[in-house]
Amino acid sequence: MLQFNFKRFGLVIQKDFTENIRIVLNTILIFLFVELIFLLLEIINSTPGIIILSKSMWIYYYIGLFILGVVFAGFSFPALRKTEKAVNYLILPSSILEKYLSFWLLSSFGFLFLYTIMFFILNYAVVYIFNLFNPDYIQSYLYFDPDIYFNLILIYFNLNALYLLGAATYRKVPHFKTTLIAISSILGIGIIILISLYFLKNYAFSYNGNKISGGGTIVLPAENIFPVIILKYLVMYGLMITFWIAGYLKLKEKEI
Amino acid sequence: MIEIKNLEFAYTKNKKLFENLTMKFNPGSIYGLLGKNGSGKTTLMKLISGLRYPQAGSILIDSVDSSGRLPAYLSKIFLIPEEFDFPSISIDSYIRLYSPFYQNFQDTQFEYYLTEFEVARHSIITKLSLGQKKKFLLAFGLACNTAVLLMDEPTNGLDIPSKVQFRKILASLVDDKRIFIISTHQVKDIEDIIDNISIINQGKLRFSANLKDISETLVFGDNEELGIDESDIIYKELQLGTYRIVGKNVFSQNTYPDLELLFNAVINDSEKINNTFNNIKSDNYVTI
Repeated sequence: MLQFNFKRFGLVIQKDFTENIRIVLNTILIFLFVELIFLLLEIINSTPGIIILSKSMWIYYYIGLFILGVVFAGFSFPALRKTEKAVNYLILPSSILEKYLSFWLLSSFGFLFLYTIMFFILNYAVVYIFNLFNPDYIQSYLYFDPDIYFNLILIYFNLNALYLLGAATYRKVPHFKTTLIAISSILGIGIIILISLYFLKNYAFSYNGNKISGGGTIVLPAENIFPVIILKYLVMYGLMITFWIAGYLKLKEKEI
Repeated sequence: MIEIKNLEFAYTKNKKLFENLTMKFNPGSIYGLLGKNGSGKTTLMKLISGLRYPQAGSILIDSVDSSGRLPAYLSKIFLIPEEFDFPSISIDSYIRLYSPFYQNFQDTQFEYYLTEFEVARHSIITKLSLGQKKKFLLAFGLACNTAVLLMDEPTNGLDIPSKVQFRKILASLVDDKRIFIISTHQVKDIEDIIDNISIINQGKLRFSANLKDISETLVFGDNEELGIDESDIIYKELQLGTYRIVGKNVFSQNTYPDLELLFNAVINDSEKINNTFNNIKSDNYVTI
C-alpha cells in the first residue's frame, strides 16, 4: 500500500540530507578542485584574446555531472550497505515510498542543483578573477545550447535512475554490479538487434510501412521515421521511469 | 497486543526456521524470549519489527499487520538490536532528526536515562565506546515510549553498574499498555525483571508461562533440600556434585524459578514439562 505524508516526508529528507551532505559536498569540492587545475592549465597555455573557456567548461561540467551523478546515485540508501545501519533505517516509522522518494529527490534533482550551483560559482569566480588580472584575455563563459543540455540531462536522469535501482538492489559493490548488468543487457539487446537486422537485410521500410523491393539499403534517414521517434522517447523516458519504479519495488522487498 | 499466527519462515528452502508458530504477547509484561543458538530468537525479533517478511501467517500489533512495513506499524515498535551502527553525528543531532518520528518521545526522559548511564549528550555517537553506544541506544529506545520495545541481548556490552541501572529503569517503565520483549542468553541478567518466559526451539514455541504461575506449580533447586519424590521430578541435572531439579510443587513450596534449569528442562523434553505444568495448573484451578 502506498502511503505518503508530507510532514513525515520532510523529516525523512531532513534526516537523509543531514547524514549525507558532508560526503556529497566534499566529493564535489574534490572534483571541482581537479577541474580547476585543468582550467588553469588551459588558461596558462592559451593565446591572449582568444575565447578559450566556454566549451571546456561545459565539457568539464558534463563529465562531472555524469561521473558524480552515477557515483552518488549508486551510493543512495547507504544504510542498506551494512546490516547494523539497515536495521535503524528500515524500522524508522515512515513509509517505503517516503524513504525512496527522499533519495530519489536528493540524488537526482538535489545533486544536479547543488553541483550546478557550485560548478558555476567556482568557474565564474576563476574567470572573473583571471580577467581582472589579464585584461587581454576576454573570456566568455556562457555558450548555452538548450537542446544539447536537455538531451544530456535526460541521459543523466536515465543513468541516475539505473544506479538508484542498483543501490536499492545490491548491498555490495552496487556500482560495479549495476555497470556489469547494464553492459551485459546492452550487449544482449545489441546482439538481438544485429540478428534481427541480419534476417531483415533484404528489406527496407518507408514512412507508410510499404516494402521497397529490390534494395538492401534503408533509404530514409532513421530520425525521420515516426516509429523511431516514438522509440527514442520510449527509451529515454520509459527506461528512466521503469528504473525508478523498479528501484522503489526493490526497496520495498528489502529484508535484513 | 502482539499476535503471531501460523508464522512460517525459512532462510533456505529445505530448512524451515518457524513452522506454524503461534504465540501472543500481552501488554503490561516483560517477556524473556529464550532459545538455543540458531533457534530463531533474533529472526523472530526481525519478523516482529518488520525487517523480515513472514512467508506464511501473520504478525499483528494491535491489529496492524507487519508485512506492509507501514508507518502505523513501525511507530508502535522500537528494536534495540544486538549489533548496531549510527551515522557520524552528535547525540543532539540524532535526537533532532530521529525523535520526531516517535510521537511519544520524551526528551526529559531521554536526558534522565543518559545521566543514569553516564553518557554525555553532546558526544558524537560514532566516537563513543561500544558500551556507551549501547547505553545511548537503550536510552533512546526507552524514551521513545513505543507500545512494543524489542531488545536483542540488551545487556551485552554493558558494565555491571549499567546492567543494574538498566534493570532499574526497565522495571520502572512497566505499565499496562506496553510490551517489552527481551531476547537473551544472559538469563541471570534479566531473571529478576521479566514476568513471562517464552522458550522457542526448532521452529516452535516450546514453553510459555507467567513466572508467578511457574513458581506456584513448579519447584527448583537442590533435591536434598526440597525433598521431592522421584516420581514428581520432571528434570534433574548434576551441578557441582548435587542434583538440581525441576519438580512438581506438591508441598506448595516457594522457590524462585531457576530459568537456566527450566530452559534446560524444556529443551530436554518440552512435552513432559508442558504436560506436567498444564496438569498441575488445571488441578489448581479445580481446587480454587
